[in-house]
Amino acid sequence: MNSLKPPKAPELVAVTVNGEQLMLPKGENLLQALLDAGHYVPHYCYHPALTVDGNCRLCLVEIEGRPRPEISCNMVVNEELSIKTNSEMVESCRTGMMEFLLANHPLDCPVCDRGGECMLQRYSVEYGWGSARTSDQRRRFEKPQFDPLIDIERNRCIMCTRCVRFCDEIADDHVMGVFGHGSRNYIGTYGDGPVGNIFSGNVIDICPVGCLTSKPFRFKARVWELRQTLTTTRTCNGSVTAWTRGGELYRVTPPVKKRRGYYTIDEDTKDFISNEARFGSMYTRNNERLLSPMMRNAQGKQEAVAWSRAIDAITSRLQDLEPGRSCILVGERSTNEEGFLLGRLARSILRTPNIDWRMRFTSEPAAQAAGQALRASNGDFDLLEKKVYQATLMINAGDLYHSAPDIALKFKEAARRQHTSLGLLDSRMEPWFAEHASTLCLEQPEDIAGVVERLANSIGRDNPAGDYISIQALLKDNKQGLVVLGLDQSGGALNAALVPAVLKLMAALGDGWHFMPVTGARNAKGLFASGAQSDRLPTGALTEENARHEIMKIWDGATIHNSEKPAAPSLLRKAADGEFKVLFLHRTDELTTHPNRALIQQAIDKSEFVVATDIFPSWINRQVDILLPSAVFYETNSSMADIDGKLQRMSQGCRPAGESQEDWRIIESISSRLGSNKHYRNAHEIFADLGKAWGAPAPLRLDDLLLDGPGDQSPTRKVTWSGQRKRPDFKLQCNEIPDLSFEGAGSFVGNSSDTPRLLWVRHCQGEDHLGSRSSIFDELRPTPRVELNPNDAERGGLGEGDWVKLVGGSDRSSQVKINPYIASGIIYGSGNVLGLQNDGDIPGLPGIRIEKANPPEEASPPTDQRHDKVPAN
Amino acid sequence: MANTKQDRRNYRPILCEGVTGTLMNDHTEKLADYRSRGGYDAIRKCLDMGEDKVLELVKEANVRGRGGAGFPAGTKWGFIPRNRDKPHYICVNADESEPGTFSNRPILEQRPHLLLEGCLIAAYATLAEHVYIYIRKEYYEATEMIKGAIDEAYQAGLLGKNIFGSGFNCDMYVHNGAGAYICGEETALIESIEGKRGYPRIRPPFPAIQGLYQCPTVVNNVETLAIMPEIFRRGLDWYNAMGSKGNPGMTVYSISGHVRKPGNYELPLGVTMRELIYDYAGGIRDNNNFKAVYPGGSSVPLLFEEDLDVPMDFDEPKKIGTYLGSTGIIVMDDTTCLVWQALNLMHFYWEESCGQCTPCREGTHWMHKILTRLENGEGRQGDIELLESITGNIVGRSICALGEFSTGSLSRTLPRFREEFQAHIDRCGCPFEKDYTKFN
Repeated sequence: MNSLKPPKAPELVAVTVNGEQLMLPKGENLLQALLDAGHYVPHYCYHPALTVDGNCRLCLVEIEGRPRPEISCNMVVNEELSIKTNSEMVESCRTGMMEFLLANHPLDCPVCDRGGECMLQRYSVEYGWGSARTSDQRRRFEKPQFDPLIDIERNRCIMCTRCVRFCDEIADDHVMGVFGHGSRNYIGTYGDGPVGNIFSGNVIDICPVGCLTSKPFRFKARVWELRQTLTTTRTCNGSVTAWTRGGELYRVTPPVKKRRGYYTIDEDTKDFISNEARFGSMYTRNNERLLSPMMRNAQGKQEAVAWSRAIDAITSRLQDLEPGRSCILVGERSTNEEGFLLGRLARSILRTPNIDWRMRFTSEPAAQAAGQALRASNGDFDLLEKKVYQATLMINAGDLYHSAPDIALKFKEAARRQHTSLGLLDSRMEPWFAEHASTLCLEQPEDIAGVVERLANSIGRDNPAGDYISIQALLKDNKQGLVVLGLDQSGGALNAALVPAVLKLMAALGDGWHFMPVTGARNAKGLFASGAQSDRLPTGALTEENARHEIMKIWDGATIHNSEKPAAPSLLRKAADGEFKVLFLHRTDELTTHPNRALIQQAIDKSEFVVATDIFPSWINRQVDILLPSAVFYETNSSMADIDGKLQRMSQGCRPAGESQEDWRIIESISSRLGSNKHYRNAHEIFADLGKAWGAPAPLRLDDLLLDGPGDQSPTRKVTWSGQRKRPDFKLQCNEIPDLSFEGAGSFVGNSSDTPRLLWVRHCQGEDHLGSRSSIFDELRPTPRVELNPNDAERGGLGEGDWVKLVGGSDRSSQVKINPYIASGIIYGSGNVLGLQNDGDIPGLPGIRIEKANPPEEASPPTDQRHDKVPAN
Repeated sequence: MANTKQDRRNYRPILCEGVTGTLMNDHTEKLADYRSRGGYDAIRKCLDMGEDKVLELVKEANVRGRGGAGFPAGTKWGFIPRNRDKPHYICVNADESEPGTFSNRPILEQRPHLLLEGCLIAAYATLAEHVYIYIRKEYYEATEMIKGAIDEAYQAGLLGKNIFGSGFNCDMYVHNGAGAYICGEETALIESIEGKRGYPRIRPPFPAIQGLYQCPTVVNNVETLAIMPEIFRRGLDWYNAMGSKGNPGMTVYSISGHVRKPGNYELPLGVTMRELIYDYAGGIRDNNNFKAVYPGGSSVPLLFEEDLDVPMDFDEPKKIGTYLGSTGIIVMDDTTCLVWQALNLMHFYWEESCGQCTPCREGTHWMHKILTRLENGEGRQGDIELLESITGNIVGRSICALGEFSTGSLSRTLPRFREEFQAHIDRCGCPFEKDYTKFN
């Protein structure tokens, strides 16, 4: 994106540090500049993502010409500075502060979960006294239990208030605070309620001492006994580290960083992950996991079989199958390598055009439009963080907070830090988000496309866009910006109308503006790019002859023809019509919570032979003919891409549990039995071919995707790792001209705006196939909730917290939440949390109504919403 | 500079009329009384002079801030940007919580209009239109009187819009604290007015740039502002004629402790401690011997017998390691156990430390424990060195000055009366016979 002008880089000025001249960026925080320049200055309360508080007094440095030491975290770099970080005065400050901090700190390191990665331990060794001069009774606080995920031990607290600032600023949820007075100060939550927000787990990482620790991880293991595996999960957007021992997952944290020779959690991390990624990934500990291949016997019951028998059965079915009679559905959390191999299996070996991942979209035009949107995408998160985009317009992405919280956080932070000015054009917005937006425009869902068209028409010409002047100004006044389009709401019902409109807007806006479609589908970009989409090959669009030719060379396979390109919704429909002999369901989690359950049931019933790979049994794969156990996220060597197109490494921390196999190995063994010409021995080879197919400027290597250390290591071993080359700049950005000729306009609902309509999303949190297996979340599963406009609620006589039933939708009761940022007539809810099921036309559910219901029996009507539990049904 | 003993004796109190020698009288000056003495003439004069000239004059007068640090008020006002891009604020620090200090109270209770006029001058000079008077909760009478005075002034058109037809607007609000000592620190006071926890802010940014509601703010002590009207009424020469070199003017010394006549004494700056104790406060009670004195509230290091001739202004005591501070003078005779008094005040600082930064929070806690031990006869060899080391680790390393204040009772005392501390350790207890009821 060289066409965009980056903001002016800060000027470098010479600063004398310990007598040595350092070039530091002028105006930057002195402590951060010193850390970046490799001069380590100990600090507790300073965190790069939080405001400066300056309370720990550990980062004191000596400034020449000033009699007293000053905290470096509250100084900015300028030319006149001459500082000392190792003078006698500074050393004595540090020893003094360490002594103060330790004077009342309990000596319980042997039982403290932070032991081994505690900054207090580390600094005690480096800057401490070595012996204690205090023998008085230590201060003690009571130990409350206020959060099911976070354990608090106030005796260990050093009052750095990082957690308080994190909740106030990043999570934007003012729940934590300092209570008491003086040396009786303590950290707590208002009303002793739980921390509750969906990013609360991060306070565990940023706590420099053992005050806030993870409850699920409590007393489970010492950190130095665990292996750290760099990988990524289905619910986060970035990388994580999985901490395992003996093949079992103990915790998930943001990626570990190299800190003075050791790989530990970086307490200064800016990679905040949602609780969904941190705790929701603990589903792998569930003991229902599939451990061996299952095959249906003559009685129709699934029984465990050997791999060879299962593979034999599959290949014998697939052999000599006429082209087009098989269908492969690829789940959203499949990796790039799996997508690549499944694409090869479909196109080159089975000769079928029926392969697709877009099951999250409920109609064919929605899925097709989503595919085209991905094709046009060229937005970049790095540019957002570097303040290159002056403005960001988010269209129809009000569900991001629920469907992809990590992505939502990125945009919210960019807006809060004023890296970009945020405009929202939506039928429903998350208040958390809307408060940071500079421009809001609330529209009926079916009108949004019209508004976008009007905006597109008004740009470049000087005619004002009526009521949308503020958004028009946002688009016109900023030369560089980003347009974000949410693809997920109501199964993508608006996509068919919105995608062409937004692309028209992009054309009107010109080169300075970038386009980024967002979806909660974890590996959407990767699957799109690796050819697991019916109209894509890893080398490009199926329609391009060059792309077909290139991939044939890589696969060394048969000619690929430009054939029909059915997306997942129509593949499911065809399967239900009995068109396929073999149906291959690869990690299709999202089908288990698909609103049209009857269609899926029919697809399974009508297909002669159904194969599934999965981690846990579900109502779908209990019925399949062959069920293959696959690997979880830290058991496989592969890669994924985030919504930005950045490639992420998944490393193998342990071999797959039981007899389960890495997914790419399963597909590879089927392919090679069916006579593929090229055999892959490991993921590195597949990835190298993917790199070739993507036309990466330099050959891509899987290991280059590692962050700053080996993908898999132990925290105690001091690692000197030289295996890493520079992380490639390569991103999966298609930037092609999309083909907008998909059939069927597809609309939200044809009804007038007077009738209530349901806008539903797929919550990443809650009751999906894998998330429900994470027992940690049992306590925390959100109450099914429907959001209403205050006027609608008043008209219906409903108040916040009332229990209602959706008539014409799911028969489950849910609670009313009043949201001022929602268009009138819209009922907003989570498809999977509500257990939404509908056999007909899903988007909007015409004829839906809300009526009052009794609260479910088990769930006592909660006073504090944070306490509520999901009603069992 | 006429600042002889005789001049001081001839001085007629102005800030708190008629209180010298007595603690309080019941009289509160009403608006009519005040105007009959030339009240609100000063602000009218200022309005004629224009903002910049007023500021110039205050700078020229070299009014040292009476809050404790003695920072020149004119310089402080001069830091405020000379534009109206953001609203400017004046905060009046009437959170007089320093043990031993009660000099603001007579001004608040007896001459509220003097303060209000001072506020108007400060607001006019710094282009501010809002004044917050932050009064500690315990001064409920003062709060009532200030509120009454503000009502009177509003009714008379001396506050509000277009004062004296000059186009100058000024509104005043009274804000009560909730009993925290820390809120006397200017940035904690600002936080408290904003409705937040009373934590001092880290500087920079200074309040003059980002203070109350992130706007330029001046925080001044009551006495500093109360001086202003008199300067404009009586002229610069009158003001500069009093006081010692670099410390013009007068201040209210509040003397308490073991003296015969405790009370507020308004005198020109530069009077010596010996004069204050023996000439004004009537000498030490019961014909006991003098032992030590806090010259400026409980937070500054003590003065001893040999230091009594130091002139009490903002510069001279600094040379021997102590400060005039808030001019709260606490006199102690030789029946006082200095360990006990250190413990007494350490208890206060331990209780009142806000707990934000490490050295003050942990240091006061620790020193309180050690002093309690010493006083209870559980002292150990090495405790004195430990105390010295802890005070050394606090001074200059905390966010605000209050960390340093907590060491006031120890820093000059430990070297001078080391034997007394040692005696507590050696004799396993306090060698003094104490009748604590007498102190109260």
